[in-house]
This record gives sequence, C-alpha cells and structure tokens, in this order.
Amino acid sequence: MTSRGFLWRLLAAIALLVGVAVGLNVWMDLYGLFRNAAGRSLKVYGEERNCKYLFTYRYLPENFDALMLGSSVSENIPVDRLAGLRTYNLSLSGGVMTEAAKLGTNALQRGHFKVLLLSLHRYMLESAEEKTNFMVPERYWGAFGSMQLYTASFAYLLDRAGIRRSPFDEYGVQLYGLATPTTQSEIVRDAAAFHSGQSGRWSFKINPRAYHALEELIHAAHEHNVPFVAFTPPMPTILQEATAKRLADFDSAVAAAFGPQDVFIEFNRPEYRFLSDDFANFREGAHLSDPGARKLAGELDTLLRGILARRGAAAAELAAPAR
Amino acid sequence: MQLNSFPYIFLFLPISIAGFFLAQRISVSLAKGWLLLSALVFYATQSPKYLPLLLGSILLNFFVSRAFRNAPDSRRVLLTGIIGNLVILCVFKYAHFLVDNCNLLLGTHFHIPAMSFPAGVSFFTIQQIMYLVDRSEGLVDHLNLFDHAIFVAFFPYVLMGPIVRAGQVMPQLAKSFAARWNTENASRAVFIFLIGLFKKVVLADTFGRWANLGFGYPDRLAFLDAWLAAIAFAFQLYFDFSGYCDMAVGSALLINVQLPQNFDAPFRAQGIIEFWRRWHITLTDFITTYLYTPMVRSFRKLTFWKAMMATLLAMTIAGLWHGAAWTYVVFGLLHGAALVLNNYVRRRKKVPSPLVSRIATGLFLIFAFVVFRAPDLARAGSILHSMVLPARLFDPSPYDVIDSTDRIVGAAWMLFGVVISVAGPSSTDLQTRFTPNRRMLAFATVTALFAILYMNSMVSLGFVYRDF
Repeated sequence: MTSRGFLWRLLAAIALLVGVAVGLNVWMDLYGLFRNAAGRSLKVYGEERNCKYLFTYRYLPENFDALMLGSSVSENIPVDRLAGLRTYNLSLSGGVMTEAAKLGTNALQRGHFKVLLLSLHRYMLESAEEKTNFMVPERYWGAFGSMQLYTASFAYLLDRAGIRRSPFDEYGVQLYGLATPTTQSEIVRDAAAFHSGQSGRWSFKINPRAYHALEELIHAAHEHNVPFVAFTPPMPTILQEATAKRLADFDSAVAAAFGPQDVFIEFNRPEYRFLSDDFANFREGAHLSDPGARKLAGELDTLLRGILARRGAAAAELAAPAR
Repeated sequence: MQLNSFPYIFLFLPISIAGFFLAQRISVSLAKGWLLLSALVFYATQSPKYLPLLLGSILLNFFVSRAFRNAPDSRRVLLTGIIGNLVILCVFKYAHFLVDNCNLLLGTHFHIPAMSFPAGVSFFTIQQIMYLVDRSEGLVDHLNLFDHAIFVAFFPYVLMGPIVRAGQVMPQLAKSFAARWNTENASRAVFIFLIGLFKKVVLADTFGRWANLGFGYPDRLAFLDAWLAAIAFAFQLYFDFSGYCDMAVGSALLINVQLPQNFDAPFRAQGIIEFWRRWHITLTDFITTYLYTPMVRSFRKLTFWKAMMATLLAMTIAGLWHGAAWTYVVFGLLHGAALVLNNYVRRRKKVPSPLVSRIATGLFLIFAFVVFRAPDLARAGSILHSMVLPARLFDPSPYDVIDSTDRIVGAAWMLFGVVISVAGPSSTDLQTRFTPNRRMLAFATVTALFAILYMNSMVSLGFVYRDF
C-alpha cells in the first residue's frame, strides 16, 4: 500500500464509519431531535441531564402543555395530568437553580406552554454549581454520536429487552421505591434532629448566582407570557419547627423574586399540615415518599385548576370589549 | 482552540497546511508569512490578550541575539537577555507566589491584582533562553526577525513544547520552505497525530476524571480511594502530555518538520535516572545542558557530592519551572533527592533486581505526583497519609457521581492504559514501525473512531501542562 493510498483509505474509512454511525443514531433519534417528535413517547435513558436538556429542543415543545422544574425532591411527583394538562417533570437529581433555569428557558424559547411549575427546595438556591457540562447548545451535536448517546442506547436496549427498566416514566417522573413506614418515621426524626441545629447541613443560604438564575427564569416565563407557578415542597412538621426562622427568611427572600402575576405556594404553612404531619409522606427530611408525592400532586392539581380558571376568566374579561 | 478540538483538526490545521504549500508555490517569503500568521492566530485563540507579550518576548530576544554580533563581552549580553526573560517569567508567572510569600515572611500587605496566565510563557521563555545561550557559544547563527518569530511561535509547540533548540528546528524549517508536500511524511504524521489524540481524549481524560474526583476530596479519602486517585493522576499526566506531544509532532511533520519525541515509555524505567531520560525528554535536555552542566563547570574541583548538590538544585529549579507553588518546589526536591540516591546506589554498585527497581521507581513516582497534583502541601500530606496510614479501607463517596456504565467503561480504559504504558509499544516505537499497510490502516481507523466519539462527548479536560 502506498502512503497516498493509506491516507485516502483512512479518510474514506473514517468518513464511511462515522457516516453509518451518525445515520443509525439519527434513525434511532433517542432524544426526539431529528424528525417530527409529536406523538412520540420517549423516556430518559442514560445521563439524565443530557437527556432532559435535549428533550427541551423538540420533544417537550411538541408534546406537552406544561413543565415542572425542580430538584430530586420533586422528581417523583406524578405530574402527567395536572389540571388536565400534559405535564413533563424536568426535575433533576441534585438539580440546582442554574440548571433548572437552563432547561426552562430553552424549552420556553421553543414551545408554547400553558404553565411553568417550579418546585423550589432550598437546596436549589444553596449553590450555583452545575453537576455536569452537558446542558449547553453544543450537546445537540452529541446526539449524532457520543458516549452519552451510546450509554443511553445501551440502557434503551436493556429496557426494551425487559432486562433493566428505565427509572423514569414517559413524563420524566423518577420511579423511586418507597421505604417501609416503620423505619420511615425514625429516618425523618433523625433528619430533623440533624438539620435543626446550627451545625446542621441545611444552611438556607442563597447563592447570588442561583438567585439570579431564578430571576432569569421568571423573566423568561413573563417574556413568553407563560403563567409561572412556584412552590416550596412540604417538609416534615418537626423539621419545619426546628428550622422555622430560617425557613421563613428563606421563603420571604424567594418571594421577593416573583412578580404580581406569579403564584408562589408555600407548602410549609399551617394550612398544609395534613401533608407535613404524616411521616408516611416522606422518605427522610427532604424527599417525598410515593404516597406523599401523589398527595402533593393532587393538591397541585386542585390549586392549578383554580389558578388557570381565574386566569382564563381574567383573560376573557380583558378580551371581551375587543370583540 | 486546543489540539484535540474539532476546530483545530478540521479547520485550522488543514487550512494552515494547505495555505502553507500553496503560498510556497508562489514564494518562500509568502510561505513564511503564512506560517507566522497561522502561529499568531493559533496563539491568539488561546491567549488573545497575551499576544503582545509573545511578540514582546520575541522582539526582546531578537535584539539581544543581534547584540551578540558586535558585543566584545558576550557574557554581559547573555546575562542581560537571561535577566530580561526571567523578569517576564517572574511578572507573569511568579508574581503572586513571590508577593504572597513575602507577605507571609515579612508580615507585609502587598497586593497585586489577579491576572490570568499567559499560555505557553514557560515554554517560549526557556526556549529563547536556550537560543541565547547557544548564540553566546556560537552554536547557532543569528536569526532574522521573521525566522526568529517563526522559531518561537510555531503553533505545534508554542503552548506546551516539545522544547526545541533553534539548531534542531530551523534547518528543518529552512528545508521545509523549499520542500513539497510529502505524502509519506503526511501519512506518518496523521498516524502519530491520531495516536496522540486517542491518548488525550480517551485515556488521559478518563484517568483525569477519576483523579479529579479523588483530589477533589483530599481530606476524606480512604486507603483505596487515595491510591486510585494517585495512580489515576500519574497516568493522566503521562497520557495527557505525551498525547499532546504526539499531536504536536504529527502537526509539524505535515510540513516536513520532525520535532523531537518527548516521551519514551517512562513507566518502564528502572530508576529515576532512567525515568528522566524517558519523561519530558526535552526538559531533561534543558536541565542537563543549561542548568546542571554550567553549575558543575563552575566548581574548581568536582566531587561526587558537589555534582549531587548541583543535581538537587537543578531539579528544584525544574520543579519551580512547572508552577508557582511550594508543591512544585517539593516535587523538584523529591526528584532531586531520588536522583542523588539513584546515583549513590549505582556508585556503590548495589543495584537491585530490575523488578524491584521498577516497582520502587513506580511507587516513588506515584507518591511524588501526589505532591505535584495536590492544591497545597497540607492536602498532599492528607492524601499521602491516607495512602500509607489509612483510617478506612474504602469509601465510595468521591466516585458516587460516576454512572455505573461509565464506571465499567472507565475501568476498562484505565486498565488498557496501564497495560500499554507499562508493557505496550511507545509512540516512538509505533512511529518507527509505521509502514502504510492494512494492519496500520485498521489500527488508525479504530483509533480515530474512538477519538472522534470521545471528542464529541464533551468529557474533555484541559491539558494539564497548559497551566505551566
């Protein structure tokens, strides 16, 4: 083989094999990017952040009416039919506000959503540090062929073969297992004892960059005329009491970010004791058990219906003279 | 734009090489101009605000080199040139280190504003010091400004070496301006570039991810985690820097310039003396020729222990050259002490068996690289403590964030990396053995596919030596 032949053959072999791989990946289209995504049902496979970020390009705008952003605390809330809207749960395990804002603004730029929900646990504002560098526009190219894609493809094949199911459903909801109720109360009490002291891990500090990301997300929702509904998820009552002052300060600091048209629901107020009093609603100090998540979804459903009805009525009132 | 990025491989490199050969058909001056322009554009993509610094350094050394022509006392000119270069290094690399230590020692409160690091400053500065020394000894001719600028800013090595001497590279460049595109060199260049790319994006970055996680929690590491982090960093550094050097060699070979190899299977060394003959070979050349030899020559009567003192001092300076921190000074000192010990053992003719030598060398390197990588000496001490006197055997927490599939893939690559660096062929071997045949074609294709896949996976870390 001549050197010239070697070079041409090498270039041709690389081009051919890359072309075949890219063609196969485009045909599989695990992230709903390369063809009409409407009507498709895609699950999260492999790296969660990479997958949910790429869903915000086409899959979510073409299939869903509403989105919920948040951290792992809201990841198991079954949002599929909140207030009759097809809702996707974009919460991330260990997700912080900077990441949620990226997902939210990217989706808002590409679709017409009827509502944007934000589950605002104090953890999301404590730090602005993103867990990966996957939520950037360059990741779009990764959908043509990357390690993340092949990890996802492998997980997809295992799921299809029934060997290992994806931990997410088609609404982005993480399917956690439920701890047994007997040990649950002890775990929650332990968490409360740990976090109640000043040395406890829950600082309720607000990172300025994370707060700025929250403001940007709210601004994006206003810009796209999408109703913005934020809520602080319920904590066990004993934990609320142990951190009452810090929790109140946190809630009032966060509330200052919202405009008059936004809705902010604090599930740690006394009227929601029916959620926070019951240990069975929690996995530990922060995360909700599956029954707890279902109860919170029910409550959100009722509240959201009321909010949307009021907005609908107000919009109709405004539109009436024009007709 | 790094050497392992899509813009460099698919845009910058083809355009600069094609432009060079097209310009060469018109005139040599145009080809030189094109090459210099490419080099400056490349540097500007890395460190745009320090482009004037690079140009200033080139001008300074050009004028010092010209001053040798008519100077009756070449030593004074050389000293002026060396001081000028050291001032540049001190201002842009060591200023914070010097001020912080001065404040600590004297209780002063001097403050200098934070500034970013000029890419490649350590490399292009010592390369020009070497040039001035060679000029003072009449080993190289004065280069005109155009040639001098090309010699310093040539894009394959301006950021991280290999550190070359003017006498090595300028005659080749002069020939290259007259030579045509050489397909034989080009196929070899592409082959060696692909090996380097694979080393960097697949192996070094995989090791790097594990090393970063471990070194991110220096106070919390259990025994096995500490060893994993330390070993991962040693191999990260090797694949990272040798990968870069292979890519630099490949890039330069496309225009028929053969740069020196910087690595020759260093983890096969049976002693620290041998290690430094195989690791960062061009730096070793600089230390030996331009630091150690002048020191030794300055002694009236040379004894073994005086030579060892010179070794220790030269290695400490080499350690400090890597970065402005006490960890690098201690790293240099450790290697200096190990060289002294190695020389002493050889002198006494009590050399242990090859296996024992290899294991002892490997263990020393792993420990020394912990000091090199740790953010400060205290945290280096914490990790070393966990490696030697562990409180716990294993605690998976630092590595929890790695997905289970990634763990399996990562572990497989790391095992592969360890095996080939200890027992496989080196880049030099592969380059020497290269002949265009089907086996090499298959090897190069697979290497390229993995490299492209990893490049598009956004897991790439910056080059470790970029900050030196």
